[in-house]
Order: sequence, then C-alpha cells, then structure tokens
Amino acid sequence: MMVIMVVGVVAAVVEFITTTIYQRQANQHQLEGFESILKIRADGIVQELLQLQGAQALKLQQEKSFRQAFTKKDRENLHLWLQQSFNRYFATAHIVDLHNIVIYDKSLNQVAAAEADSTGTCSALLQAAAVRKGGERLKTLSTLCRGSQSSHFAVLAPIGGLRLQGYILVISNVAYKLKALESQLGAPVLIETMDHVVEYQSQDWRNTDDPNFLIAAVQLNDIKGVPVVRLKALMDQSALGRQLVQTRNMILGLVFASLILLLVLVYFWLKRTFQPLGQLQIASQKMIEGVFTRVETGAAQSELAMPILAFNKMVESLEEQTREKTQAEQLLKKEKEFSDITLASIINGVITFDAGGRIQYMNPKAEEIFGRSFDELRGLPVSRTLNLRSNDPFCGRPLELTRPAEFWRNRKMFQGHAFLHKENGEILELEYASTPMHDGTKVIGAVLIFQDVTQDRELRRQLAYEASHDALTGLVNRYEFERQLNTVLQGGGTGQHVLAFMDLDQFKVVNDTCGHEAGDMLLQQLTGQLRQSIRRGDTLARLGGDEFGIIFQNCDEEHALRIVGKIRDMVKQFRFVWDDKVFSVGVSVGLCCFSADTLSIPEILSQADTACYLAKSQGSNLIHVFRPEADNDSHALRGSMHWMSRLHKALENDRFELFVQPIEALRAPTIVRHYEVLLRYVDDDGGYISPGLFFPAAERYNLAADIDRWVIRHTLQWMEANEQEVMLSINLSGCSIYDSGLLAFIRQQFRETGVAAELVCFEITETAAVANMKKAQELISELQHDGCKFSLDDFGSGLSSFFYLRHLAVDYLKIDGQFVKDILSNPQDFAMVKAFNDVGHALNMKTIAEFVEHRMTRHALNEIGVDFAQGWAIGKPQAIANIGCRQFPQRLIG
Amino acid sequence: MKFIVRTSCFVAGILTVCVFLPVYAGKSMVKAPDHIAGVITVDAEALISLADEFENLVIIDSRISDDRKNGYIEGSISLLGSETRCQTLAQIVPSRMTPTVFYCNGINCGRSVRGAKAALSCGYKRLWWFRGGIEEWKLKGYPLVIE
Repeated sequence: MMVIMVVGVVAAVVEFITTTIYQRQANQHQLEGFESILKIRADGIVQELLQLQGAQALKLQQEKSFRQAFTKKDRENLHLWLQQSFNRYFATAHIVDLHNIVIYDKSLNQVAAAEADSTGTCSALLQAAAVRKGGERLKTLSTLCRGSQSSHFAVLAPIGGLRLQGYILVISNVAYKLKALESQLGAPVLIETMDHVVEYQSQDWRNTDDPNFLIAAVQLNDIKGVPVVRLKALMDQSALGRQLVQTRNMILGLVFASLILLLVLVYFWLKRTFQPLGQLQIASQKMIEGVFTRVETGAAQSELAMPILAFNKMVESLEEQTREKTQAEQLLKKEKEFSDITLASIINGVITFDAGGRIQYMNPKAEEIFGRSFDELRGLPVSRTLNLRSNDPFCGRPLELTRPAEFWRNRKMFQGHAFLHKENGEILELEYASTPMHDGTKVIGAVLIFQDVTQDRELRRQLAYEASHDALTGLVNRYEFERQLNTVLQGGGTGQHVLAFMDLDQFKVVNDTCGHEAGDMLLQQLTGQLRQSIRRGDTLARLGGDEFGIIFQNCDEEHALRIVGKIRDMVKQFRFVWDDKVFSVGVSVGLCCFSADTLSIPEILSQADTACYLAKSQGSNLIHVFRPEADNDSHALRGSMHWMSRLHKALENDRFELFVQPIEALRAPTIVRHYEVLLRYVDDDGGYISPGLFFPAAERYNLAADIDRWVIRHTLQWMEANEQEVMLSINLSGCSIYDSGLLAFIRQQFRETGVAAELVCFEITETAAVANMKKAQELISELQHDGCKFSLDDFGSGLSSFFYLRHLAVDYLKIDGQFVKDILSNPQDFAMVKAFNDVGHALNMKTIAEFVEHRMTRHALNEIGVDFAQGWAIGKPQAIANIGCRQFPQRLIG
Repeated sequence: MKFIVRTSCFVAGILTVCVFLPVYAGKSMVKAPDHIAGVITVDAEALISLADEFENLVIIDSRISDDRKNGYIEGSISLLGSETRCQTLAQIVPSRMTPTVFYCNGINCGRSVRGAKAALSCGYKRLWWFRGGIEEWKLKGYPLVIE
C-alpha cells in the first residue's frame, strides 16, 4: 500500500515536473519557432528591399538623361537628376522609404548624391565593394547599415552591364519596410537599433516578464556580420499556458483518482487475499503458546492455500510430535521418578561422577553413609572427597575411583571393599562396585555403588566364630576341631601329635538332678580348669554334650599322657556345688598318637573314640591309649561308618537274631517263664556280635528305633508262632521313647499276632526314662493300660536317685549289674542292692538283679529279698528258638 | 517531431528527384556540346575580361526575342541562331577578325552553338562561345539589361 502510495505521489510529482518542463520546453520551442519565423520574415523583407532597390538602381541608370550626365560627368545634372528621381520615387511609390541615392565612378569616388549630407554612409559596403576585382565588380552588393538616426538598407549596383562604368548606391530606411512584420505576424513588434534607439514600436507593444508572453528577438547584421538592427515580437502564450495547466491538472486529478481507486482496490484485495496469512500468524502465535490451531484455507488462492495446507500439515505433525514428546516425557518422567525412587530407596549408596571424577549424583543412602549431603559435595572430586582406603582402614592406599579410559578397555566394572573414614571418626567397611558409563565410544563417567557392610562383616565374623565355637564354653566345636586337625595333617612332616577324646563320667547325674542350667555351669567351670591344663598351642574343643577333645601338636605320647594325667586328676578333684549339693565327676580319656603321614582324619577320630570307649568301659577316670594291634577289632566294630551300612543291610535282610536270657523268680514261683530278649548281629562269618558294639552307632545314626521295632515285631511273631506260655522282656532304647509312632506300632503288632499283652514286658533304662520323663510316663501309662508290663533297666547306674521312681509307675525295678556282681565281696554294694530292693518294694515294684554270675550271689539276693535274678548263674543268653528245648535249662522255681 | 517531418520531406524529395530524373535526362538530349571545334568556350568572367580587352567585341544574342525581353547582356546584339548566316553576320560583325562571342539561354540551348558554327563556317576567325549563357550570367549575379 505504502509503495503504491509512494509510487502514486512520485508519479504525480513527476507528472507535475514533467509538465512544467514540457511547458518550458514548449515555450522555448515556441520561442525558437517564433524567432525563426521572425528571422525568415525579416530576411524576406530585406530580400524584397534588395530586389526593389536593385531594380530601381538598374532602372535609373538606363534613363538617357542619366547616361548623358554620367558619361559627361556632369555632376550638377546628375545631382539634379538624382533629386528628381528620388523625389519621384519617394512621393509616388511609398514602396520603400528612400533615404539617399549616390552615384560613384569606377573607383568608388562619389560623383553625385540625392542627399548631400549622406556621403560616407554605409562605408562597410563601399569597403567591401572596393576590394572586388574583375567580373565580381559587376555584381550587386547590399547590406544593412547603421545610420545616424535609423538603420538603413543599402544596395550598390554597377553602372554598365558588361563594362563597369561606375556605381549607383540606393539607400532606404529599413524600419519602414520591417514594420510590415507586425501585420505579417499578427503580433506587436519592436524595431530598435543596437543602441536601443526605438525605430518602430507597435501600439500594443509592451515589455513584460509574464510567462504567458514570449518575446522573440532577432538581430540583423551588416555585410561584415556586425549587428545593425534588433527585431522583437511579442507572442501571447496565455491560451497555450492555460491549456497546459488545464491538461496538467486533469492528468494530476486522474492520477490521484486512479491512485485512490487503486489503493482501495489493493486494500480490499490484500485484505481478502491475506486474511489467511493473518490467521496463519495468529495460529503461529498460538502454537508458540502451545495451542495447536489449524487454518481454514477459505478464499485463499492456490498459491496461498498450498503453504496453509503445508502449515496445517506441519501443525498436525508438530501436534503429533508434541503429543508423542509429551507422552515420552511423561514416560521418561515416570521412569525417572521410578529410578529416583529406586535409587532413593535401595539400600545401596549410589554416586555418579563424570570423566573428571566430579560428583554428579548421590542418592540418600550415599548421603547417609558418608554423612554428608549431596548439595555439599556436588561437583567435588570424588576420590579426594571420599576418604576411602582399600584393604586396611589405616594402612591401605587411598582408593582411586576415577580410572583412565585404558583401564576400562578390558573390563566392565571393578569392585572390592574399602574402609571409609567418616568425619566423626567412625570407620565403615564398604563393599563397592564401579561401573563406567559410556557415551557410545568414550567413557564419560562412572557409577559407584556401595553398601555399608560393617555390620554384615561383623555378623559374619560372629557367625564364623559361632560356627567354629561352642556357645556355652567358648571352646572350638567339633567342626572346627576337625578342621584344625586337618590343618595339622596338612602341615605335613613326621612330627608326632596326639589326639585326646575325653568323656565326663557322672555328668548326667548333675544334669538330671539339678537341670541343664547346672550342667551348663559345670561344663563352663570345668572348661576354665581344662584351659589352664593344656599347653599353649594345643587345641581344646567341646565335641558334644560332655565330650571334649584335645589336639596336642608336636607332642609325644609320654608328654601327652602326663598332661592328660594331670587333667584327669584335676577333674577328679573338681567339686561342683549347686543348691547346697556337691557333685564330683570323672573323666574317661582315649588317646591316639599319629603323625601327618600315618593316619587319615577319620582313622584318628575313630581310634581316639575307640580308645575313649575302651577307657570308659573299663571304669571311671581311666586313660586308654589306642594300640592298633590290640584294639583294632573293637575299633573296627565300633567304626561308625562301618556299622551304619551294615545295620541298614541287617534290618533289610534280617541279619539279626533274637536271643533270650532267663529271668528266674527267686521268691514266689511263677507259672510263666520269664526271659529278657537280647539282640545279636550275625556277621558274615556267622558269628554273633552283641549290641554293645553296634548299638552306639545305631543310636548315632538314628537306627536304634528301627532296631527296636525289628525286635518287637520278631519277638511277637515268634510268640505267635510258638504259642509258648512265656513272658518276654523287650528293651526299648532312649530313641524309641521319642518315637511317637511307637505306641501305634506296638498295638498293631499285638493285634496282628494276637499275642496277649500281659506276656510282654518292656524295659527302658533309667537314663532314657529320666531324660524323657514325660514321654516315658505316657508310654508306660498307655502300654500298662493295654496290659503290658514295664521294667526300669540298669537302675542305679545313672543317677542313683530314688526321686524319679515315684513318677515312674513301672512293674519291675531292674538293679544295675554293677552293684550286683560284687555283692558278696563288697558290703557297700550289698547295702545298695538291699536299699534298691527295699525302695522298689516300697513303691510296689518287683525287683530284678542282673549280672548274677555265681550261685552264691543268687543266695545273697534271695536273702535280701530280691524278687528275680538274671545272669550267667541263672542262664546264659541262648537263641530264642531254644526256648522249650531240652538243652535250655528250664527251671521252674517253686 | 520536427525532425521526423524534415526527414520525411527529405526522403520524399529524394524520391521525387529519383522518379523525375529520367524524364529530365531525356529532355537534356539537346544539351549543348562541351566545346565547338574552332571556337573558344568561355564563362561569364572570361566574357567580362574579353569585353575589357576588346573594345570591338561583338556579343551576339542567339536567343529568340521573347527570351531577350527578360533581359540581356549589355551591348549584345540579337541574332537568332537559325538566322545566323554569313550575310547576317556581316551586317553585325565588321570583319572576320572581329572578336565575337555567342550566347543563348544556357547549356541546354543550342542556338549559340548553331550561331557560332555558322560564324565559323563563314570564316570568322576570332570566335568565342559563352556556353553558360544567360543562365550562368544571372546565376552569378551579373546585371542584365531589361527594356
């Protein structure tokens, strides 16, 4: 619009200027043309004067009177003649305004003149004529020349047509003729000399600067080119000027009208055409603000519609992209939140740092562990800021966390554990892993993940300690003991070492009478004593309940025996006081001598075990050194590993055999014969092996209960098969008391065999019954309800206390053979047996004495009042099949 | 505009000349010869010199009388070319040794040629022929005698 306006205005201005210039030029041209016309007209008049005056000159000279006068050089006549002809022409013709007529001879000397005073006029013409020669002189010369009052036109004609005789000069007043221009041009004229002497002036002449009037001026020159007269003509240009102005104004008006019309049209066209562009702008603005708007193409032409459609497409695409971007951002945000929460909530500390080792992120756990906030540490060098030392809290090198790119070339992470010195002096143990972050090609930083394992490590150490130590005594346990034994063997060499197994005697008495608390206390006190007895470097371990072991490293048998002897004496003298009670214990010790190259661990342990067993079996407070040549058999039989598989096979293949030993009634004769059922293992050679050799192994490997069941089943089956009217006592081990299915099993067996329960007596040892008093009471109660009898076996061997008897409603009290066998020689034993017997009777129990090996013993028992006797003196163990056979001494005691 | 008009006029003029030239050329078949054997050809200036040199110079106007009315060279005697014979010449020219000039209208006029040849054949020795004639004389601005 502006451009159009500017162009319009410029056009108008240009038109104005152009018009003005054209007007000027037109005026100029007009003036030039006018001047040309003026000049031509003036020349025409001068030419006419030449003709007229030339003709007059010729005519004059042809008159006779003149010829005569001239030929005669009669000046007076010539003068007269001249005046006559001058006046004649002047008066009559009025064609020209004659000024003078002069006659010259050939040499241009004046001969005569019409006006006397005009001699010397037009000297320029005469001078020009004088220089001519030959035929040239015959030619007529003419010129304008300046007179004293006015301008003249002079014509010099020759006298004589072929032979020059003189000259005749005719001079006229030129203004007289030139004023005819006024009528010829129809314009006022002014004729003046070059000295501005006005010779003629039209009535309506005026000098003016009015541009509507043009003044054309020309000069007429004489023969030498000197200006003589000036002609001016006034030209009225006002009509033309008015016309020009009108034309100009009309054009300007048209221009402005067109301009305004164009502007209006353009404005509406632009408004209509570019309306979508405005919408585009609004839409773009909205898009900047995040609102996606499409633009209607509407009336837009295809050229505009194309970009609008493209814009709409762009908007759609952007909208789509923005939506996707927003979704992606939300997803990313979610993931970031998720990862932030994850990072914040995981129990590991996480620190990231860039390639320069500057900290870029720390999660809350890391802040907690380091005791410093992320804001405080942000951007600080990680290695210098975190006071981490590898391997050792004090001597370890500072941990270098930023590694060069070469370091990462062949590994994906490095890890280890380090110690952190916190500002508060606390030292934490950390496990860390550092993983590099890659940016396509190069390492841009690393992630350090770590956790505080201080407590963990502590716990682990404690667990390791606990795993290898006995909680009660603080001694190493069996596991650690064996490990150390292994270490000794691994050490190699031929040095002698000794292994000691120690088993406390009478410990159970304390445990059973005063409870486990007392037993524990005893063990602790005794351990304290034991510690002092061994050498520095020897290993003392608690292997089981009351079992201890010692490894005497680099120690010969003699030395070991000395130490062990001292231990035994110490234990012997040891007194344990609990609730005003004083207890003493004994110890059985088994020794095994070995060197690294002689025996394996199982062999050593087994030998020591055997030695201990042998020591114990031989009585209290004994020390037995294992002698391979002497002890190998029992050792072999006691080999636990050995027995386990054999017992399994024996149970599967019935490699057991039932034996019986008769129990004789000493006082009241009974109808039913009474036997104790005994078990024998039948070895590959057909030999019998008694339970003492294999039952500990069976107990250790939880086979005891199975063996008990085997015995029960086979015994009842035998009773069913033989229909013998006998009463059989079946031993139940301690394990069987724990066997919750045992009661059901026994009842099932009774149902299946149909054997009368009254014919079966179960024996449980005093120790087993006391150890599991409640269970034992239940079992006894249930089976007694069914009709079975119960017998308390080995009474006196375990606790020598009558306390429990009141709670065990058994039928028989079986006095331990230890007291019985020496009854004749040992009054104390006799008294004990008598006491047991009395107590049993007092509790309404029958008494049975074991180990009756002499007939005298039987008598003694009879005197005491014991009800039954059992032993070699009564009857040796025999196969059960022998019941009822003659070989079997069947004695009815009446 | 003025230029265009001028140019147009010039072109038109050229065309006109081109169209009419052949006609003109056809007319000029009667053109006088360049010279006449035995007669000296002169121009206007030479004629004036002759007049100055020879007091007795006879100038013969070979034109018809109508032409002569429009003006003649001073001192010339009218004798038509066709009437120029030894007899008529003898009446005008005193002797055969008298310098005599012939002229007529111009180069397209054969009368003076005829006159001159006649004079030559009559035995006149000193003959001149003003070939340009009145045409040249007027053109050069020399005076004519008009009665």
